[in-house]
Amino acid sequence: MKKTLLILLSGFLGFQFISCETIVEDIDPKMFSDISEKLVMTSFISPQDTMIYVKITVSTPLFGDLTKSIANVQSNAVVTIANSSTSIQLPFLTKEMVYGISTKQFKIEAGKTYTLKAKTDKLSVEASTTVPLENAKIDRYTLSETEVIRKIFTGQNTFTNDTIKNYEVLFYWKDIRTSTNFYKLSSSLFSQYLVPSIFNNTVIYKYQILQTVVNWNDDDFPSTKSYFSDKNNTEIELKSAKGDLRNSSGFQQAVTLNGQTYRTKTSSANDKIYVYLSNLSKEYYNYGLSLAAFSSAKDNPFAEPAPIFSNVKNGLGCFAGYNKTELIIQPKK
Amino acid sequence: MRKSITLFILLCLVHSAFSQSKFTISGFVKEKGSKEQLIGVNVYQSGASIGTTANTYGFYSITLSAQEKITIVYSYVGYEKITMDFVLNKNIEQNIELKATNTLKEVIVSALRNENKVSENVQMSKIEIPINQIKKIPTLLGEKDVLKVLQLMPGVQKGSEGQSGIYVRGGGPDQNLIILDDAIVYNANHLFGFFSTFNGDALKSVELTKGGFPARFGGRLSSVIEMNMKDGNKEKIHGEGGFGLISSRLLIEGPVKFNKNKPTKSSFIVSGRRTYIDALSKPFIAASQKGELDKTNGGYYFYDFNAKFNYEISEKDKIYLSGYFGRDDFSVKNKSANSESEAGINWGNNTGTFRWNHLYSQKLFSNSSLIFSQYNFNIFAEESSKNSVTNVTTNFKLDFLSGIRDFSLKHDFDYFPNQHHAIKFGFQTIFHHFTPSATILKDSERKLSENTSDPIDTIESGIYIEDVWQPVPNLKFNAGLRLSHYKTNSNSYIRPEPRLAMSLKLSKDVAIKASFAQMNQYLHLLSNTGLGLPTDLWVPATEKIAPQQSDQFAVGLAKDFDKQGLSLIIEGYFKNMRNIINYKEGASFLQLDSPENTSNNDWQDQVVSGNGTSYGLEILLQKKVGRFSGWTGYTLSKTLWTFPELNLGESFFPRYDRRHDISLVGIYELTKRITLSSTWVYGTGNALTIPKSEFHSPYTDLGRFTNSTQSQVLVQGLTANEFGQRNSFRAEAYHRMDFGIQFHKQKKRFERTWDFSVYNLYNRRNPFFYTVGSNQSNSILGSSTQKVGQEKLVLKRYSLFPIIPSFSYNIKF
Repeated sequence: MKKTLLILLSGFLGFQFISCETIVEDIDPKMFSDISEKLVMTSFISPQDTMIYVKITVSTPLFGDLTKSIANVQSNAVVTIANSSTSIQLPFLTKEMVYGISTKQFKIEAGKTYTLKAKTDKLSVEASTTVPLENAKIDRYTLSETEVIRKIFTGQNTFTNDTIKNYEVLFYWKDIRTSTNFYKLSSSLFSQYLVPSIFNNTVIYKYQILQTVVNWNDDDFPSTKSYFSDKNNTEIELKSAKGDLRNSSGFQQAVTLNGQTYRTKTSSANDKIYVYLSNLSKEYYNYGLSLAAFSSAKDNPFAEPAPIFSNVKNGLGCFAGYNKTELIIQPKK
Repeated sequence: MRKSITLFILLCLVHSAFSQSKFTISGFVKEKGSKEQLIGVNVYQSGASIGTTANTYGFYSITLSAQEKITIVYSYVGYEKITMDFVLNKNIEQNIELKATNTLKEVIVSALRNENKVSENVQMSKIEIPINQIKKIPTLLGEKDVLKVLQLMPGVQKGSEGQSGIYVRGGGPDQNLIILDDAIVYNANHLFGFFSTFNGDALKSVELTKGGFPARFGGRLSSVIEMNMKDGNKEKIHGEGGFGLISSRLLIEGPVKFNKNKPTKSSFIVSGRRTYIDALSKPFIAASQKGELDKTNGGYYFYDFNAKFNYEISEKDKIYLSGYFGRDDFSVKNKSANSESEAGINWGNNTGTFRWNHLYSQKLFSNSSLIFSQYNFNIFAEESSKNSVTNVTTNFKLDFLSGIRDFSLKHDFDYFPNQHHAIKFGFQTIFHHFTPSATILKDSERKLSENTSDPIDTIESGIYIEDVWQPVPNLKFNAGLRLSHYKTNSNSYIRPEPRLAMSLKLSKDVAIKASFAQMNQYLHLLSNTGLGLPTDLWVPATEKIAPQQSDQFAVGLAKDFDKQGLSLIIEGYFKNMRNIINYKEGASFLQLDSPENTSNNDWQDQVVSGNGTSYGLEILLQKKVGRFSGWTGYTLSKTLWTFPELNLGESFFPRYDRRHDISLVGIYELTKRITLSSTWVYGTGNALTIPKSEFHSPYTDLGRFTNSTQSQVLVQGLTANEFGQRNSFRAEAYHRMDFGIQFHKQKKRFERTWDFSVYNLYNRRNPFFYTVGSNQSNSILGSSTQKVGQEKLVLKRYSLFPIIPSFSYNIKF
């Protein structure tokens, strides 16, 4: 809807018809203060994670070359993480295109402060964060199921029905009363599918798992409704937004053997809902919400500019900690 | 403060006590031929520095010592001066009719003129533009526009290209009090600010005050734009009209006779304007979609309509009823086999004023006004679609409404006790009803039906007294106090606003002036586009959002060059603004409209408040009369904002901070039948926030990863921009020349004028906005800075109006 209104407004202003675009080539660089490449360092660490990942890229300044991918991953940097007593260098993982190390080799502990540094030939950056000491658990939740009949087209005007389960969830938790806290709630539904395939002229079914991420019913990316603040420690119990786990991604596969069609079978018997509640360092909260503000403003010519939060000295990006708890809900058990 | 008020009142009393054996000459000054009351006519004793000015209703009163013979001069720009001798041994009531001068003839008599000298007036920082000059200045698409002419004055700036928004001395467009016949006009924009709602035909006077505000004005920080509608010709039916490229307009005025044998006591005026882009384009749109199943149709129009009626009950009582109605409407309709949709925006102002003038005595004049003003806008979208498979029809409807509605009562007195004092006092109470946002949402698919609204009622009042006091011939003061009061459900404010202006004449035509004014503003305008969009929301000061306040000091020099008919004004000002508001970083009106967010769209969470300072120097050299008229204006200014939550708390330039601003305006009556005119403007570029780099901003949801998403870690994210310091980029300078030529001809029954104008004569590509984008080199050879096939991040400038010629045909009868 927001888009429709935007199109309406811009169309209305008739930018397309009356404005003319000129590329400004001969601009005096003095018109900008400080245009330069910067290192972008991003990493989120937690005592519950098995890996520490750090992504290092370089920004493309105005009038710079975009031919390289915007991701612009830097694989030759020296990346080190340190706590108050020791430090370790992280190797570059070519598959993931990030720097990474197992938390067995370098432990992340709640309440401790970490410093992350990255250095290339020309640039060096640094950032620190403290992993929140405590974490919060989901206290109670409501779960309501609805059955939805999905139509699967079998021909141009023919279809069969398939019944799938949708869940509506609502979570509650008690605030950690010792300090001001910021939270993020994540949830996904993992469903089983029996997917047909033909093997040795017979149809066999194999299990596949499909993940559906919760929809908190907002248009934002990242979802602003997945972020919470106890408003300077004034909220005692926090409550999530209404989340929809709609198992309707249309995961379909059909095979035909001897004139008969075999289709994917859905099953909700082993549905599992994973819920993660993270107590965030303020950096993660600021970063996530600034990304959401940026993405909702970026196509809107009328919005105020939305800078992305960064706690990286001399660079861009974010280094933040979180401390999370897990809850697994099995609706059928 | 309290002491000085007591002293002031005491002085007034003393003066009254000694004012025996004095007599009063009073009356109304009207225009000959139409009996239109003239505002601001100078009435003074010949050869002495004693005089007064006719008020908004043309009433004047001057009290002088008894004399055998006294000569009184009535003079007004653009009118022939009248000199009258009186034997002053009793009170005299004398109505005067002034005759409009022929500009061509006037070149001969201009050396003799002595009217409206800037060095005579105690008021500083005030701009008056004769309406007939407004009609001669070339404009965009030939639409004559009062506010755009005001933008050509020093201290007043335009916002973006082609916009009628007004920025006065570092203040925003929300800080202008725009009043039409006592009614506040909240959104003075048509077509997203490209045209103002005032076309000038029905207006009698336009005055802009930028500083040294008299106590009778309050409620805004930066300026007062006071407009008065004509009353209507009392002698004969008169009409004026025009056909332009985008609109046509028509005005009719004339006497209303209730009794043929008695003199006319009443007259009316109606004036209207409507665009016809929608009507013209409809057949073309229809033709282009002939035979297609999917049909889209849309249209845009605006209109405005002014009407006024007045009736003279007796010599002492007159009533006026006036109204303004304006509306803009844009909509798009789409119809296909299975769905039908319509979306649109419409907005408009309505104002109505009932006024009653009463003359208690020759020295005491009063006006009571009952005022209604309303502004509202509505964005809507409706869709009805039928699923061809299930045959189920779903309906979606969204209405977003915002508005403000005022009822107000105003009572003003003009008291002229003697030649040393002219006192004004009175009060005004406004009942505001705000609807910052009301959303109606119906969605049959998601089974939603919501209706949210958060109206707020507040009361704003002001009580004031001001005195133009001339203790000695060369020294004038305007001292005043306004006590403003504002009440919401939860809190109330009472704030005294001291005002002081003084003028000291150094010689016959040179005066130095100084002023101080404190202003409070209890209304905020949420605006983040810089354009005059209807989506700008008027909101009240609340518990969370405090009222805005400003202090302004100004000093100046005024000099008249009698022989040349020129006046020179040099002024410097310093303005301090507190609690001004701005949207938060990333916030936008459009975020408020998300249908899922109806419960969560409190505008108060979208704004932050801070302080601003502005200072500057303004020079105006103006020639109001003669064959060649016009002005040169220059402004040197600097405005800084400091918001704790913006730009990390560091000061920054607001978008419209403008170091240099120049305007040249010239009108030349070449012959009786040809008028030439031209304007040239120059302004430092706007201060903007432009992305200085692009980078990948990774993100993870902190949820559970499956095997396939594990490797995606930190890959998800978005392409983001680095902005650097807020508004640290200066757009390229804005400059433009317009040219106009008018051919007048007296036909048998009417006078016609062909008006040709060219906007942006030398086709300057002025920046409207900038974006950052990519540019791929397609040329085989590449360019000096770019290789073949290379993609570069570039800055793109969007310009709005190239050279635009236009014409209109106008008649007058």
